Amino acid sequence: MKDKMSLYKIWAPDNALWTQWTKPVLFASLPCNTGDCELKPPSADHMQMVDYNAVIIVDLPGKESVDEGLVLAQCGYRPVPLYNGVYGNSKFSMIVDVQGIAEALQEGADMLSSLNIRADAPPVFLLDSNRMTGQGKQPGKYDNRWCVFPQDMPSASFLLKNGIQKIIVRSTRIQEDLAHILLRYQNQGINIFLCSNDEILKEIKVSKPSLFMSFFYRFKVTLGLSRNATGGFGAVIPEPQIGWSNRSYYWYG
Amino acid sequence: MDILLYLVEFLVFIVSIICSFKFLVKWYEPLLSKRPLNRNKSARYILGLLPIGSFCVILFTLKMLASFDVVDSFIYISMYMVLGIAWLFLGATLMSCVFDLSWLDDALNLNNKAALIAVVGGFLGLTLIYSGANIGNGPGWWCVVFTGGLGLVAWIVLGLVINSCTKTFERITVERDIGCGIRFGSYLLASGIILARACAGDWTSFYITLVEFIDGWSVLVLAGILILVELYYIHKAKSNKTNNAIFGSIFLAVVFIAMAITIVYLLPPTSGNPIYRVALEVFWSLHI
Repeated sequence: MKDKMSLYKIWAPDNALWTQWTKPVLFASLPCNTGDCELKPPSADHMQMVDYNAVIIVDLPGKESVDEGLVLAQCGYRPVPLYNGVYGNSKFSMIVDVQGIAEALQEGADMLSSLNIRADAPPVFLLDSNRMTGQGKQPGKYDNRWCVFPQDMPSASFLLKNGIQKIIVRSTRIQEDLAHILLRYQNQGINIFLCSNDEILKEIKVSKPSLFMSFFYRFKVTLGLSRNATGGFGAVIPEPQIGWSNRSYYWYG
Repeated sequence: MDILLYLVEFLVFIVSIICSFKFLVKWYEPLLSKRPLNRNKSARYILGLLPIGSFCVILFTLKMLASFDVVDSFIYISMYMVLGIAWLFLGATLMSCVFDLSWLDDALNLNNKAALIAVVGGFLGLTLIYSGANIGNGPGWWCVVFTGGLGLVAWIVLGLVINSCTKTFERITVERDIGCGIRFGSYLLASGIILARACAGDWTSFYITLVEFIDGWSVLVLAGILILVELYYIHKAKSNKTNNAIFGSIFLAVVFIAMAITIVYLLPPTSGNPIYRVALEVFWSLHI
């Protein structure tokens, strides 16, 4: 059983170029024992050889994203977890269930540490496509919904400087928060490809999301989420309590 | 009438205490919480010391340069101190909302050095504007809020104008351009110095305060210079992919701050400014 720090260091080694983007939030909030998890890395027929001009963004539900990241790591890519939702106290209280991801990160660490990935290997950014599913701010629930912002990923100029010419999104669709990032890349001349379930690469044109390039965007979105004091998102939503005067009061619990 | 004024002052004091408490909790809770995997220790120390430095500047102003009835009054100094903390809370929130420069998200959580420098410059600029508003004699807290509010609005509007011309916020928060962070952070501090001078002075009336605020016109020159400098750096970045401009940016930061101090030192008092006389004539003609 690895401790949190050594687990984090496996996924974010100091010498790797893309380590600075790895989110420590989920690693820091991992419980001591998440349970047993069987890793079933899928086939990666669509990506047999590492392409040094490409960045891959895996936006799949739950542990599938980690599994896919591990497969791509075997091809020579550097997996960069961007999960920004905190692991809550109990599996059933969390709005976004990150149990599977937490288990897969722990179980996958052994496989990842056995691989010899180059320090300048192109990255595969890992996202949970369920990050905004579920109703937010439900009283008594642990609201760990989260969003990915342009500030959470490298800028287009940084990618171009490192020879990146194309972005491959492994997902069924482009989510709105990701569109804010991809359109910035597209505007700088980086080609965007979508690889959905049929595993065929299709070049796409990202359409403009609402509040694109607006400095209110991040402020507005984070207002609807619950911050965690240790970084990332996750907090218990207070439950209303009935007082002696029959009025409802909110109480943390 | 006096009782009503005291009551309002008491309410302002209470509201300021609540806002200050909320601000200090929001500021220090993430800084003091356990982050075993976080690498940005320097950001935590800098952000932790920042409000303390600001409190010292405000306290010095209140003890040495504030209104005659404030400098020796423990109660009034306490009230203006907590009002100052509430002011910083408002300013930091406005920076997050309007400038998209978040001390929590960018400087602390994302370990963005460019944003850290800009946030530090902005926080100190806000502190100086509030301190400047406390300089001089005045009948009450509303004088401080009004003059400081003028400075804050000018500071925010100029920041937005700079961003609309040069995409500064995007370059700091997304591109993590440290040079841009240094230049914009030093501009926020330098403009804070000039606007603090514009906010300072004895209170006469709302209109005269507006006229006296014109003393800070040189901030427009400073903003104009920054826009030209940023456009030059954008052009340079497009033509040359290696944008290593840290030393040049530090030099420019020193120039901006030295320029602001020189302007404040050399600027004639408001009564010696010809615009002041014109504005006064307009004021009297309106009243007659």
